Amino acid sequence: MKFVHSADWQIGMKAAHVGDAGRRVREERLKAAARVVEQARALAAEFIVLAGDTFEHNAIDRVLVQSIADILTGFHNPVFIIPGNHDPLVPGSVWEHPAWKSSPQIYVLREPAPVSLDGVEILPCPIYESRSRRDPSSWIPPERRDCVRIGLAHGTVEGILADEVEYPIPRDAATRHALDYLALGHWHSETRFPDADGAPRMAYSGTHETSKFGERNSGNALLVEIPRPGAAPILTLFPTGGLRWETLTPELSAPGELTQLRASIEALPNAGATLLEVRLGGLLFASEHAELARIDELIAARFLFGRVESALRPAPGDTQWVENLPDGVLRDTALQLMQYADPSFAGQRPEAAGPAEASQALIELYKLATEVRG
Amino acid sequence: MILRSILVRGWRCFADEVQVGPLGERINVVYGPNGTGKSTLFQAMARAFLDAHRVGGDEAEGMRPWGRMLTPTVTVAFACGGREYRVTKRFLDRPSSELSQREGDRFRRIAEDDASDEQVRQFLNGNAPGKGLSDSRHWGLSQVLWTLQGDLSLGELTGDLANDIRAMLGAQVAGPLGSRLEQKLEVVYRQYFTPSGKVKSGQNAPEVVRLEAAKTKADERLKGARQKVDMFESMSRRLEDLRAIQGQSRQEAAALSAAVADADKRAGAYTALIAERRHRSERVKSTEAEAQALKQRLDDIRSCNRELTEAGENREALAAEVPLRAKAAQEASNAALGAKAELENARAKRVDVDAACATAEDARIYADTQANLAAGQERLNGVRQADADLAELRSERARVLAPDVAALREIRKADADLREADIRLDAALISVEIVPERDCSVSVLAGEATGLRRSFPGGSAAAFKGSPEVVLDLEGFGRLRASGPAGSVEKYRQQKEDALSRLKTLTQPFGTSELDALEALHRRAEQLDAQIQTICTRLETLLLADAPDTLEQRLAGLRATLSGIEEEYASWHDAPPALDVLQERAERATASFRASVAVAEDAWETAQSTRTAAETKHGEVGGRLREVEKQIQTIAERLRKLTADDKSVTEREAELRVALLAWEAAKAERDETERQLSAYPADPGDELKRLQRQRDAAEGAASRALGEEKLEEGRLANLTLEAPHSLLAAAEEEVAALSERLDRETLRMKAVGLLWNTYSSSKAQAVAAVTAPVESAATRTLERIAGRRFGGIHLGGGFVPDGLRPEMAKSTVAIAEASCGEREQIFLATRLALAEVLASNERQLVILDDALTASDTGRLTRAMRVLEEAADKLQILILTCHPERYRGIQEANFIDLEALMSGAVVS
Repeated sequence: MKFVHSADWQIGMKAAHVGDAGRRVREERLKAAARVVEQARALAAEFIVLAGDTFEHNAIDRVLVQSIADILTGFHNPVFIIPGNHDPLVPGSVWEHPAWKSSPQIYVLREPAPVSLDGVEILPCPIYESRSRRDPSSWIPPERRDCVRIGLAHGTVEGILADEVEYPIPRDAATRHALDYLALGHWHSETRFPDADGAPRMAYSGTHETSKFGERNSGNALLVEIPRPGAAPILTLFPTGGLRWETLTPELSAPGELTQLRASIEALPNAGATLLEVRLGGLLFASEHAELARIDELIAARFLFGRVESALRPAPGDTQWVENLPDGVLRDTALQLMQYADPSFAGQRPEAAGPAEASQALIELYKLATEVRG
Repeated sequence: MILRSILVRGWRCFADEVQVGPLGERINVVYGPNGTGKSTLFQAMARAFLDAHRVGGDEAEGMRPWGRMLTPTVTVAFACGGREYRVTKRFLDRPSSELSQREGDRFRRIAEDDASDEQVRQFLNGNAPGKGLSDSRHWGLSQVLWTLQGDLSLGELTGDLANDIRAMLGAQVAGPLGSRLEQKLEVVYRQYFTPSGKVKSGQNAPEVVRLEAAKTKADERLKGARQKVDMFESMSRRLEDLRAIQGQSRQEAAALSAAVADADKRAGAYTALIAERRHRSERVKSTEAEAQALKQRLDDIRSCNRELTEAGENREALAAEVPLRAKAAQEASNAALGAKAELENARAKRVDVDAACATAEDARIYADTQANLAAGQERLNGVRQADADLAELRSERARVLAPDVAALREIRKADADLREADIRLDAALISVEIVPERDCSVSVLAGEATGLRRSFPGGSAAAFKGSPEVVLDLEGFGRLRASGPAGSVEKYRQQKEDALSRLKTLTQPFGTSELDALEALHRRAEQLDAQIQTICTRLETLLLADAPDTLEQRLAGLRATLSGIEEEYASWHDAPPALDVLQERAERATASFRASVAVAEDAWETAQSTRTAAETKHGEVGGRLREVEKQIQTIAERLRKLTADDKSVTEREAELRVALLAWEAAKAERDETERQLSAYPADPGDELKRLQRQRDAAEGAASRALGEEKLEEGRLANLTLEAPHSLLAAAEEEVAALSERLDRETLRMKAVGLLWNTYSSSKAQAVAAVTAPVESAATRTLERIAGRRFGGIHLGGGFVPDGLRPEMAKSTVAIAEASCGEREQIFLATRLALAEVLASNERQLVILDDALTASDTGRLTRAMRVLEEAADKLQILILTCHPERYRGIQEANFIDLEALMSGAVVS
């Protein structure tokens, strides 16, 4: 038996953290969904299980619901879906959309009751509200039968660090409920939970498309193979994501490093499908102000989304350009701004003269001085 | 900039062409009488530099010579930045402007018309006038360097003069690079901020303002989207609740319907039992009534028979008693008549009793009257005796003249005053006591007893008093003088005499002044008054309220009464009656009479009662006999009715037994029904109604919930069509993107602001450092001209002198406090100090038009020396009508304007 396990598609996801690129991010999630189905078909999966949070919210545009239904219909084999905490089975939910009734091979599992299909018993744990401290898998009877028993649940496996644990699922839920495999959703990173014999009977497939910077092991789906009831599942990860989420956090300490950084950014492949976050730390040398601007331009022009967060501060020893200024007002101004730019400066600061403003002011002064000098 | 020459024509007083110059680079004095055009020349030069050639209007027309339509034209040659220039401006008619630069030995045009105007203006940092002719507001630095006619003051600074000076000074402070950078910085700064430092708004607002506005709108959209998402979730929950309510209500309605059906059955059974109970109770009542009726009839028949028997027996006994009672009544009547006669006999003996009582009463009156007469006579005698005693005492009292209590009190007081005065006098006198050892003779030479001569035996004491001294002549011994302080002896002596006089006055009526005798007289008078009072009291007691005459009349009446009684009982005059005997006799007769009458009355009453009782009993027996006979008739009639059906008693008893059995059976059936009903604690009908209401309510709630559910489903569906979450996602992303851009722009704006402010602050400090030398230079110049009494010149924010700091004064003194001449010296010193600063890179032209007219000769001379030194850095042009005042200046270039106008040039 072979099936595809995916979850947390979160179609219609908000992506305020990437600003104007949010729309593209949402579109990519639809495309990634299509890739899941395409891969499932290519891998000859017998069915697909979606372990919750297929949609970001029940109030999303119904066009998206129809789109997903259409994509899943294209699979032609059964698709088993449970509502998750983002799209719980409540009045007005996406699951009331007529599209689900028009596709006979799509099973929106609305009740915690076994569903049998050709030697497989699906044991779904649908979600009915956004938050709960209840174990959604607790209803599953621990009965070993002569069929493959696959659980479908959405929640937090015990042991995962979270501020608030919603829908807790025991670490040994698969063993406890005599399941061959428990397909999990809720966490976006692919994670496996082997049983006492080392068999991966529980796993988060992770989201099919990375949803934010720093989200590891995401943008994939799982191909699950269970040769026979009781046999150890064989999990194969296959990529489905279309976007790259890159984060660079260089700590600059010497002249020229900013140029190296620019070069490495220029070398990043597939920039049009890459979201790039650059967090600059360390020291900024006056001679590299232009490089900084160049990086800004490069990211803005080339990448799907880019953000440069600069915590750079003027390099303390980089005062040559200041010394080149005429003695008097200009040099005094530069020196005063350098003091303000130092976060450890304990003197009295004028209004709006924090380190960030002062650093930027120094950059402006440097640019002007450079222009004047020609 | 320095001036080379000025050429004018067609300009007010210069109808013909006049050229002033070439001018020296140091001091030039252009002089001429009033009206020769010195100031006009200055004005023409200023217009050449600062006015647009196209200027028109009445004021511009004023440039023409009076009454002539000549075209005002001016040509000024000058040097600036090491180059030689010439500007020619033609006004009003075919106006033109041409700026030429000297190249070799000829001038080459470098700008014309407007460009020429603007370029020439820039040599002075001047500002273009908006419309019309320029005035000092547009002079730029020349406001400091040039003076108007007779006015050296810097008090009317307008326009950008101060800023221009600051800029010039700042440029010097910052240097050329700083100036260029400042210009660029200002351009950047002005993209964001107004000159006053506020963020620009309106059309020229920076990007940050536009972004803020866009973000505000995006925030509103975000807020709206959030509200819609919240509404979606709220409606979803509401729908869930409604579905739960509807399901719950349906379940409740179904359960209640089953309960209603069950209750309906129980209510039906209960209703049937109630009807049966009512029916059986009625049956019990009817059988009971029938049995009771039969029993009552049988009892009534038996009672009638028993009553008939008893009434017959009673009638026979009464019929036998009636004759006996009639006889007894007759006998009692006779006995009553006898007792009545006895009573009347006893009452007839009352006459004797009354006579005995009257005699006894008369005897009592007679005895009382005699006693009263004797007592009255004795009382009358006492009155007469008291009257005599009273007359005697009153006579004696009239003879005793004694002080009353008040007079005696006054006398006692006067006596006490006399004794006190005497004691005080005695104490006040000088007292000398002599105890001679042997007999001696003493003569009082001074003292109370002056002139006294006495002999005293030895060993005896002799005392002498006096005041103010006591002088004694002791025979054989000598003279003894005792003196003391003169004091109040006379006062006490006077008091003593006053007291004595008063005492005499008070005691004079009583014949003695002796207090004891007076008090004895007073006591005697009181004693007599007491005796008179006692007799008066006794007299009043005897008379009571009567007068003596009344007493005598009353005694006469008593005597008359006695005579009347003695007329009836003559023997009583000689032998008074024995009152006790007569009274005892009367009492005995009365008691006997009363006893006999009482016995007779008792006997009569007894007889009378007996007769009445006998007659009553007789009547009662007769009445009872008649009643019994009537009763027998009534019973017989009732019995006849009861037995009218001709049934026997046995038959009636059999009927009664049957009826009693039927009653018992009915009661048993009713009790069975009651037992069945007791199984119901309450009427099941009430429960049925309650359950029906509950069921109806539950069904209603379910219907309403269903309706609301459908309504909410519709609303939710409509809201879903709006895709609230998708709107929210788009809005959040828009806000995030705008926020990021806004943050960037804001940071840059703040950075530019910070850079500008920091730069301005640094520059202001540097400029302030420059201002101080200017103040110092001006002060030094003023000290040279006018001495040290003014102390330092203080420059205000606009480089205008605003006060003096004399060393003697603790605070700044206003310029206005100085005299007119001193003020022009102060302003001259300031202008020269500023001019030197401005001329640090290049010589500058200073024009003094009719200046220092109020300065005295001494100070003017010193001012000339100052100008001579200033000429090292400045070109000075002096316009004056008093050239002699400047003759002391060495190397001055004097130009006679009047001579120029007449064609001769004098230098």
